[in-house]
Amino acid sequence: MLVPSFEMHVAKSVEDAIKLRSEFGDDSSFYAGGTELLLVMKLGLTDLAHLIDIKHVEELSSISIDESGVRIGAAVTYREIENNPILKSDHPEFVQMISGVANLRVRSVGTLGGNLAFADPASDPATFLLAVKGELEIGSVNGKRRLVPMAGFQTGPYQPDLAENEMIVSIRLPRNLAGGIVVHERMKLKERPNITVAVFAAVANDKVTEARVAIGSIGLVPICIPEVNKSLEGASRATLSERLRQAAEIASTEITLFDDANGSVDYKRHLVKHFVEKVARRAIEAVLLN
Amino acid sequence: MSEPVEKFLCVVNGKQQIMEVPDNTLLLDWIRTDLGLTGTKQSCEVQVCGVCTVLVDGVPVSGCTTLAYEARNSNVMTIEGIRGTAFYQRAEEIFMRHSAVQCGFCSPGFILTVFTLVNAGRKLTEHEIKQALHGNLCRCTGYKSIFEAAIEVINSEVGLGK
Repeated sequence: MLVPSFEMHVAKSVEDAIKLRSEFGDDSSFYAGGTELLLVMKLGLTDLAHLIDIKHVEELSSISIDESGVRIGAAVTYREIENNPILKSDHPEFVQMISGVANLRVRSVGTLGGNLAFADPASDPATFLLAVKGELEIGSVNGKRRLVPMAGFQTGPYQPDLAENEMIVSIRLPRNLAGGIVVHERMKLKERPNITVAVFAAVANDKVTEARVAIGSIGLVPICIPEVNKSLEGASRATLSERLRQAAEIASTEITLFDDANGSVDYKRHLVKHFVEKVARRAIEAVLLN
Repeated sequence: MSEPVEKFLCVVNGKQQIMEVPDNTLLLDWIRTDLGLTGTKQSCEVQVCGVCTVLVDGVPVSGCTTLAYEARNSNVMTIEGIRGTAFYQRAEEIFMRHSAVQCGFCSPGFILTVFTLVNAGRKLTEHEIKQALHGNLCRCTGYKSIFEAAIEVINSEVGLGK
């Protein structure tokens, strides 16, 4: 399979990259790891005349950590995340999730920003970031920057909430998880996950004070269903099993699913039910027993 | 659009090569067609199966979905490049002994992946080895023997972790 011909442009800064993108418009794309973009180009699903290489922009390629949180440049690779000692010690669940994305070769060059900008419905990172209230720093023309929540960023399959002259500059994780923990699980039979569930849970006085259940890789976009979260709040050890059953039931009926090669809607409802109950139980029991 | 083509240097298996291809050339095509190094195989085309694994500056990539552009002014290592090394001889002996080679089509990718793991220079757990090797597919489905051979190679080089 051949990649249609294009011209490569190397961006020197975020502003430079955005300028190039504004200039070439629809006929261009940012390019970093290429693990998603080159696939769709090879499959003939898109025909771009210009690629803008953003890998050499320092701002996009660094990881930094301060009191406010973790900042991961959009062009940081999965491999760099896996090997970052501070992330490994402070956010082991995040690193563990990243180390199961795709395969070794994809993780060597694929980037976190690329994953989110591509807005593939099957995304472990997007689902995880929903559960921990991650944020994205978006850059646009004239040096403008804004922070947006991960929630709402994916408006549909392969549809990120980005204007043509905007780009993801960095991804932000909270510094600590405010007394809670996050648990992530995926089920994967082939290259992409069939379902991803990430659950954040916090507890005070032996009761769940906050629960965020993110379900991804199975519906149109990764989602958090408020009724599911609400059904878990206030749960104690005595009521946990009942609440988990309720949450799983609501999740499996509220989520929008579709038949495809990964299974029927019925089968997928079963997966949602099973994994929401299982992963939420792991998260809540871990904080309740602490 | 992709003309005229600039020339770049690329060291492949220790030998300097001139790369003179358009931006849209895939690394796999350059290696197999232009250089004639056919130990690197071509199959799934969507970076799932691992037969096109090559190392660019020591990092394993799928040649089928990597632009040759990424290897400009870099070091590329293919299966031909590790032949004759002590690592290769040991790996070959161990893979043969475990019958971890059937048709042999996936072997270059598996061996290069194991080479990468050994080069990381630290002990690896069986889980980590499995996680790394799950991105290489064997069409003869000889995973058990391949996994056992990989464990033995890695154990003989850097040791296994817990």
